[in-house]
Amino acid sequence: MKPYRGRILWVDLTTGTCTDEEIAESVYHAYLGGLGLAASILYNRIPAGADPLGPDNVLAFVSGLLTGSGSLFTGRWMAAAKSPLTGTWGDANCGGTLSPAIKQCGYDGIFVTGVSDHPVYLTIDNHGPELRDATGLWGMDTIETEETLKKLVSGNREPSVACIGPAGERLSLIAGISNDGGRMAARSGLGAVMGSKMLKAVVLSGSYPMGSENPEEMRHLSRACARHVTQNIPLPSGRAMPLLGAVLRHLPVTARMDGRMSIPMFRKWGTCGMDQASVEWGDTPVRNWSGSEGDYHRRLSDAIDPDRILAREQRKYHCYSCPLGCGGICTWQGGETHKPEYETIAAFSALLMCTDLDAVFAINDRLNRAGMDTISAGGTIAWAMEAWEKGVITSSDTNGLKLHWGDSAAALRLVELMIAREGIGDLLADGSLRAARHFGHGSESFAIQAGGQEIAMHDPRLDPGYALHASVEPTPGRHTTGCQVYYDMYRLWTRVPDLPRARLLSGKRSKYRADAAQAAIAVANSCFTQLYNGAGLCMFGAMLGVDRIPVFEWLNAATGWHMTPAEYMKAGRRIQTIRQLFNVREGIDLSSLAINPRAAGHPPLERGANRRRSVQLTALMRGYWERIGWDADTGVPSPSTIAELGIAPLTDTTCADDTVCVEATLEIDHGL
Amino acid sequence: MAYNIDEKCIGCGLCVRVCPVTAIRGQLHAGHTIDAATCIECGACGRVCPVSAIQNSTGSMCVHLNRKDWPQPDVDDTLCVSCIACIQACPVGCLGLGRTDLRDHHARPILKIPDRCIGCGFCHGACPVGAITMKQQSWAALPARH
Repeated sequence: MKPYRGRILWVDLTTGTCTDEEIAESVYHAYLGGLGLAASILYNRIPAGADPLGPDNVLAFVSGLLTGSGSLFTGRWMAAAKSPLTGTWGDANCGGTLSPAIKQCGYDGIFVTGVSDHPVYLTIDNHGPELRDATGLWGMDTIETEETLKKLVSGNREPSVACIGPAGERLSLIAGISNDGGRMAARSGLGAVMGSKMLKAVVLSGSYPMGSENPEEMRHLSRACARHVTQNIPLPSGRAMPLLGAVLRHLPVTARMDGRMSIPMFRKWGTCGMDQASVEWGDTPVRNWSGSEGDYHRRLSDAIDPDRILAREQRKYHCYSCPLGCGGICTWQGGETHKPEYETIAAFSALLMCTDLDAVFAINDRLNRAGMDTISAGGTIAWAMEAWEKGVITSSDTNGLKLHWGDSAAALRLVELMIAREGIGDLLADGSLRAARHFGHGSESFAIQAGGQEIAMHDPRLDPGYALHASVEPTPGRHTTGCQVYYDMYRLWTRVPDLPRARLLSGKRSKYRADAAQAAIAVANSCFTQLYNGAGLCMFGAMLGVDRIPVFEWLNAATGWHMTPAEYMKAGRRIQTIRQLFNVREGIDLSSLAINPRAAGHPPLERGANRRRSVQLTALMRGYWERIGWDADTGVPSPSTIAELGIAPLTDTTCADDTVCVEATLEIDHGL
Repeated sequence: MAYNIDEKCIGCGLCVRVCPVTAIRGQLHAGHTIDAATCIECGACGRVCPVSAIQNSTGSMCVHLNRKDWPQPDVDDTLCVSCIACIQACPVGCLGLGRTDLRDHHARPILKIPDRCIGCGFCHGACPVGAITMKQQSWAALPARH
């Protein structure tokens, strides 16, 4: 059987109707599935200039092409819509169990349009979709909502639930969508889109089988891949991690990174294993990106020793089809909570100069329950603390709350205010850029964001790739889309011809060049990221390297296609380009999405691991745009690139007759 | 493709009770029908039918099998990677996570509710690494219900 269903569900909340739409096989060839499928449809169906929080915006929940095919690491689902936070293309990626559940309901994606006049939730099983009243659920946090719905929607098997919490209901522009007890599709503010549609939850309990065209070959490939993950490699205690970071900092050269080193760490500790090491290495931002590892020294970072976090872990948490299990379920206040991830810990420790691990757990739990992005929440509170230090925000603005660096209790209180949208929290709930514009006095200069979205806790001054990708991505401010270290780990040169092999050792200065080689690896990262987003692959799996995680071989075995790695990379480039075309159609000045200069080393830090490091961002962006086939000055995809990728011109989405629109879209030739 | 009930049906209703997706409709003592769009081809109806009135999706007649002879999943812990694909695939929710493996701290799946298992083999088909085999076993040999 095919790994895709060839069918999506449209839910119009204004009319309360659900309709199926068949998807031609050529669409899967061209856009794979997952985020590619969403991009190919939303580009055509969201009208230009649509209000992100209005009825014209379309919110997509999509499942990866490889999900359920017998592959590993392929349980990621993606949400996509026009972002209310950045005004650009918006998407978010999440693990858990929703991705297979979408396919088990018989669909590759669920596309929600319109706005309901009362809270509703969508339930789908083998008998089809149904919208039900969610008035009684409105106001509940994400975990209460999920537990209640699992009881309400009774059946043989436990349903998978994606829902919003109070943050999404209150249209916080940094709200996300939760799944499986607090796993978040956090970025791009898509929780607010769901809240604006009054859609509280999606409850999926279908049980159609999934599969692939060549199950035996899939199994053979997966067994070989699993062996790279499940070896129990003995690791030192958590106390050695900051030493590892310090060694990396002091080395005069940069060594090529290999996923075989990071996978055992993720398996033992999860992402939190890297927090203390990253501070020492210079990867984690300190004091709203103005400090360094000397300011958040080892005696302070001892609070986030990964062994302290591991001591609270009850059991490992695996997303669907994941052999790694980087997640964890921890005991917390008499109950259970997801183990805080690297980003959350970094945002509420080094970034704010805080040293209270209990507060990190409390904030993580509060944000997961509220359905709010921990990266943006941390980045916004860091801005608020600096604004307090500089006198931009005063006690009269905070109702007496003092926002000193390192005050975990104040950070927790601010989180509560942001969730409730009370006092200053009402402003901060929409991110640092909007708050900075409200308070003025030059505070925009230390709102560390790109296009309005707070950037994640990886310092571009250590790896300029982060600066480039956060600035050129159609979803600005993202850290998962590429950097130089990812290129080392993906090992694309082992499968894709004409890509440069990363050197085993290179001088540290060479990272900061803005040359053709850097453009080539950045574009390869982008194309591969979109490729694996189409496949539904987890980034941590991809870090094994494509010679160990057989993503190209899986794709061919699962679908029965005979595409080359280069052709799959071209599909990734197509997805990236159509996302960029979405932004072009919105009339966005693409160069305005660049990250805040401070994070790019303008001015450079005077102390610490990244002292005197600056990123030549403008040159890097020009090089990237040129290499991928977009205009080097404006970032607009060139007509020749659009023609080469076979992206069809926009269909007329303003026609009154929906049926005609659907047919017109399906006639597009998505040929390679 | 889906399963189909022919005219031999005596309307006993056993298939209605065992179907995990309520795809079968019919009055007691009258001919039953399977909704093709809902059917997941798990085969439970075919195994339970006392008069072998049910054909599978390829048109072959299903053979009645005593419930104690239905195959059940057996997980090879040395191959299992704890990826929960089997638990997600199970249409009756009879699998769950068992105890954490002390060697690597990752929990392995177990047959938590054996008497709910319909022997469909979806877990076997879903396992990416082939750690699950479907084995016939007698009720007496099964572990107590958790």
